Order: sequence, then structure tokens, then C-alpha cells
Amino acid sequence: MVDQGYVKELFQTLDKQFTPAQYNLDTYKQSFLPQLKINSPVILNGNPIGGKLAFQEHWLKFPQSQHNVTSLDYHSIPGTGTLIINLSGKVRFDETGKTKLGETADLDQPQAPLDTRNFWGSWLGFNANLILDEIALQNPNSEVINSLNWRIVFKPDDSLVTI
Amino acid sequence: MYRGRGSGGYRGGRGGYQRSNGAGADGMEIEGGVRNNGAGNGGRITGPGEQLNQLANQAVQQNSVPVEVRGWQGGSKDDLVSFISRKTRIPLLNAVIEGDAIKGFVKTNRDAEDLKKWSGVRFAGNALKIELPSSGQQGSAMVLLKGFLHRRYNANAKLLDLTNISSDADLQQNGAFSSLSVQSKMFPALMKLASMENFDVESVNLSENNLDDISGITTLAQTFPNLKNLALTNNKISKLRSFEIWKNKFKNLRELIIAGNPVTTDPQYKPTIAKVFPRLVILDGIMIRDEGKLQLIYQLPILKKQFFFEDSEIQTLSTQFVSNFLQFWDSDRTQLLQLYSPQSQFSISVDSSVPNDSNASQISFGYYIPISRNLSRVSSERTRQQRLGTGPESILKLFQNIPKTKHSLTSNPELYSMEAWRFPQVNGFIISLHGEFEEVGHPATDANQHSNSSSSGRGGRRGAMTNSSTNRLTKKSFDREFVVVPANGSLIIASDLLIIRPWSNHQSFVETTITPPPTGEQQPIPPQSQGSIPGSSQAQIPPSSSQQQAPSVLPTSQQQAQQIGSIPQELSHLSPTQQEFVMKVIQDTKLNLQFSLLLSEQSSWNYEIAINGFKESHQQGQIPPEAFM
Repeated sequence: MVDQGYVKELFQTLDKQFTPAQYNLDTYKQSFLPQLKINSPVILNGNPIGGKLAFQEHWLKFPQSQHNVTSLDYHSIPGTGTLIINLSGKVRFDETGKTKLGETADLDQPQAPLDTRNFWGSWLGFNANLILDEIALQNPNSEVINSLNWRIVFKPDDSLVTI
Repeated sequence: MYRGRGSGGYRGGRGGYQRSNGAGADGMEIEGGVRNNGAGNGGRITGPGEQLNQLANQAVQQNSVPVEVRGWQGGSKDDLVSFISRKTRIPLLNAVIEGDAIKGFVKTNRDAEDLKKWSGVRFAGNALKIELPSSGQQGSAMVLLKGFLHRRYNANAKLLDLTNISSDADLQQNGAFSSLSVQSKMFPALMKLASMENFDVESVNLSENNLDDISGITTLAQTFPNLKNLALTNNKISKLRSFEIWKNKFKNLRELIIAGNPVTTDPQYKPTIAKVFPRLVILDGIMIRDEGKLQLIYQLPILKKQFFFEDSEIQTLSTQFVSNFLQFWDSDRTQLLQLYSPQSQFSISVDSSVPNDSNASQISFGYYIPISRNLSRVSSERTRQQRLGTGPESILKLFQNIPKTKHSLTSNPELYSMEAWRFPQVNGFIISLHGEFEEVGHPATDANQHSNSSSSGRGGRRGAMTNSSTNRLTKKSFDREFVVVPANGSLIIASDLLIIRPWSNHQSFVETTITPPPTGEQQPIPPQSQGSIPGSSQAQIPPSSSQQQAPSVLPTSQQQAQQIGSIPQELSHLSPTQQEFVMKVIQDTKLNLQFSLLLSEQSSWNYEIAINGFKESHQQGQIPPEAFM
């Protein structure tokens, strides 16, 4: 049974916060959706991103995010060993003006220690589609994702982040 | 914030009145509306200055209700004020003489109504005539401030130059500054007027206004949330902390000048200001951020594209499929069953918590909830199984529980977005379609009644919870994912997952950059890819189904019509403007009368505050279902 908890954990990997104590740059990137297969197609807001590594590279450039999955449904496709998932939810982004790695646009600011505090903008709506191997039910952390399609379906006017 | 200040200010005003009443400190020395044109205005005059004060007071204390008293000439104004206070126990605040009337304010509409009932009471030998003027009586003060605003507005530069307000000759001549300070009273009134005038403003200059705090000008953020440039040069602002009130309020503020204020010497000045204004690039003429870099930080690294098709074959197949599918989905769903094999699956999920653009009345999911399989809500394995349609027969049952719909993919493709890519494991492809539809007719069968009669455990309980009055036909948004397998020259839908959510506009699909017209793979849905959809037959609501639903729907709509058409008894104590206000709140929120009235009063009759407060509470689920009509 693919449950809310499992899918929630998948999306939580996208929301990981960088701390130098916990990660170096490579291990941080690799922490985004490690369940993707190396050649799995990823589509973000209608843009094909290529496979896992390209995706992780791109996701690093996204502002710090927070996903919240609020609906989930899936079908098991007979004879294929795959599950197809359609889910929706809300996502918001940090508006303190820094990248995931803590870089800001500030000029002549002394090298300040990384401030991990976030100021969350308003919630956006998103929809996502996943194709999972059925073995995900037994091996949730292995490479079981055959594709990811992620799209913002609602953006509030007061969001600082432009999509 | 605004509300808190308003009510606090009000209480202060009231106390002040009661003290001054006995001492006669309120007394006006010049009566009869004489204009004092001389310089060096004293504190005690009637005339536009006092009117301005009232207007300003009103902007802060919106629950002041104006009252007019005539036939008072047997005594003085002060006599009348104390007479009314003594006789009716309703204090008349800020009374001034205007023509043959004494105009003042009472605290609430109820007070005004009660006071009106005293009309005819004898004062100094005459019968007083007490009336409640319709709104918009503060003519001359409004004209004065409006004139000032227009003098200071430069439409070409999109600049509102409020430098040294108190130097304005016209305001000075008319005694506008006799009893108001710019920051506490006049500024909120100015902002209110500026909103009403719909000025297109990118820059505001508030230099040289003796501001010692920004608390008096906080309303700037409500009036001009998209302000790009702001100057506060040469004021007396000293507390850095006071800027916190604007934190993330001006999300587009690019340039700010605070030079010439004590606050600039605070060691934390620059970093604090930078934090409060996330898009600020120039502070006091100095670049503090790299604008290009800032742009990148707030821009997702990939620009949204409305459509994605993995290749041209997928594009042709999927666009044809989707337009045909929606045509039959709207007109006759039984025609679609040939696309589903005995192993095909269909299920629907309701997600009312996706952020959206809907107002409360559009959020109506009563028909869908009894068949919703949203696994984050439905935990019973049995119910999950029941709500999964497998094979054409059980899929049709679910289809018939869904309201009749109208999509506009062919006529308004900009409202839709789509991705289609190959799914090698099934030798087919996936289509993910996002967009909106109108519900144009009640479903062929109603799962609420169905599950009630069969009363099968959880399903029955859920059914009972959704009474038919919640089943309004509205516009909705959806995300639908199909797994499509080409077979023997036709297509089979192996899986069909439909999410229904509150309506959102299509802004999140609209591509932001100007790109050369797409060719080949990235082309939007070509109109020729499918035959024309006969619109007329779908636009009509089939009479049979609407009749079937009529008994349950009618009471709601009748009640609504009655409430919108005529003023209910419960509102008779309000002024006509306030009645109109409440009726508009009812209309826009679909809250019932009692809650709409409550909301209106709590907002101090500020419509924006009322609606925003409502939205916020509603999103946080703080409004009980019984609050709605």
C-alpha cells in the first residue's frame, strides 16, 4: 500500500535544508529524491529536465521549499509492475532572499554565517504525477521512481517567487 | 494591526470626550461656520479644519456614525450637546455647526437609531429634528483633501509627492492643521482617498513631514502594496524597530531613502532595513544588493511552459485524444466507455485544500465527496476499494455521480495546460491535463442519496454529512492523469486519475517570457487536430436531471434570492450604506446574515479588511459550516 506517509517522505527530500555540518555540496544534491532512477524523465512546470542528476542539479537552484501533499490517489497497472500516482498539494518558498546554499544578493556584506531561518511566502498549489515500481512497497528507499511530473497549478499574487 | 490601532484610538477618543465634556474644553469659540482665513490658527475654530479632523477621525474610528440636529437655535451648541447627553444618555461627539444644523457623531448605528427616536424632543422651546444623514456629507473636507492629492500627484512619473504636507497653502488657509498632526490623522485619511481615486503610483515622497515614527503612515502599505520607490528624507524617525511593521509588506520596493533621520545612525540600520524589504536594491542612494542576482534568487530556475509533449507523435495523439475525450465527457459520457477495458481503472479525488482563487460560494464538493478516493483522507481499505472503478460498468457508475460539465479546451486553450510523455512499460504514454470546467447540470445519480439508503458504514456516514444544500454547481479546476495505450488502431485508457479542486485562474500556466513562436514539438494544441464541438447541445442543462434535483436545491436559492433582494429585518438599525455593505458581504462570502453582520462590524466597515479576514479564516478552517447560508 502506497500511503500518505511514503509519498510525504518523497516530497520531504525536496525540502531538505542545507547545513555545512550535515552535507557537502554533492551529498546535499544527492539527497533530493534519491529514489529516482538514473534515466527517469523529470518534467518541471512543462520543462523536460532529463534524468536524476540533471534534476538534482536544477532543484539545487530552486529556493528553499516546503511541500504539503493534501490529496493522493494511485492505480496499479496490471502486468507492468508499476503504480501510477496522481497527487496534489501546496508548496511555498523561502522569501528571505537567499539560495539553498545561503548565498544572497547583498553587496559588501561580510561573510555572515549561514542563516537557516526561512520566511515563508504564501502557499502555491501544485500537482504531481509519479510512476513507481511496485517494489517500492517493499523497498521504499531504492531507486523506484520511473518518472516525475511536477507543476504549479496556482500562484498567489503576493508571492515574491516568480514561476 | 490596523484594527487594533483603530479600536484603541477610539477608546482614547471616547475617554477624552467624557472628560472634556464637563470642562468645556471642546467648546468652540467661533461659531456659525465662519472660515478663519488668518495665519496662525488657534486651536479652537470651527470650519474645514474641524471637519478634516472629523474625517480623519472617521478614517481611524470607522464606527462613528454621523447625526444631524436641527431646530436647536434656542440655545448654544454646547447647551445642545450637554442637553442631548443628559436627556438621551447618548454622547454626541465632535459636534460642529454647519449651516442650520449641528453635526456630530455617535458611537454605533444603534445609538444613532436610538437618538433619532428622540426627534421632536423640546429643547429651549423648540422641537429638535434629529436626522441620520446619508453618507458622503463631509463634502468640503473631502474636496479639500482631494484637491491636495491631485495637486501632488504626477501621473506621468507615477509619483505621489507628499513632501512637507503642512506647507500646502490651500490646506493651511483652510485651517487643516489646526487640530491634526499629519501622521496621526490626516495621513490615513489621505491614503483612504488615494485608494478611492485609483492613482497609479510607483513612487511616494514623504520627506520633511516631521514624522517621528512610521506608525502613523503604516497604511501606505495597504494603499500601495506594489510601491517601487519611497522617500522619507528629513523626518525624525528614530526607532529602527518601527519598520518591522512593514516586514514583507512592500514586496516590490526597490529604492528607499531614509537619510536625514536619526534612525540611520543605528549600527543595525542597513541589515535591518534590508531584511524588512526583500526586494530593496538601493538604500539612501547606495546599492545594497546585486539586482540581477536578486532576480535570479526569486525566479524559479526554469520558466514555466504551458505544454510539454515528448515528441510530435505524442503531441498528435494526446491533443486529439484530449479534445475528443472532453467533448464526450461534456456531452455523453457513455460514449467514452469503449475506451475502457475490463482492467481499466478510474477514480476521483477531491482536494479542497489546494490554494485557489475561489470565493466561498464556489467551494462546493458535496457531489464528489461520497465518491472521492483521496487516500490521504479515506483510510478504510474497504471504502478505498469501493471507490475504485474497474471495468466499464463500474466506471460508468462513478461517471454518473459527477455533475454534468462544460470544458472550453477548444475555444480557450489558454485555460489548460498539459504534459504528455512516453510510458514504455505499457507501450503507451501518459497525459497529465490541468484546467477548469463549469458544472452545468446535476449528476445523473446522486451518491449522497444512494449511500444514505444503503447506509454502508463509513460511506453512509459521509453521505449523511453532505446535505444537498451544499451541492451548488460551480466552476472547478482539475488535474487529470491518463495512462493511454494504443491498441489495434484505437486507444485504451488503462488508468484515469481525476483530481477535483477549487477553481484557480490560469495565471500559473501563462508563459512569462516572450519567446519566438514555438514550432514542432512545443506547439500548443492545434485547432485542426479535432472536429468542432457542437456547443449548443451541451450548454443546456438537461431538464430531467435538474428537475430531479429541484426539491433539494430550491430552498437554498430561494433563501438567497430573498436575502439579496430585500433588506432583512435584522439590519434595520444600520445605515443604508452599512446595510448595503452587509448585503455585499453576504453575496461575496455566502456567510449567513448573522456572521456577515459580525464580520462587517469586526472589520470596522472596511470591505477589504472584511473580505481578507474572511478568506484567511476560511483557509485556516476557522469558520464553522453553520456560518454559511
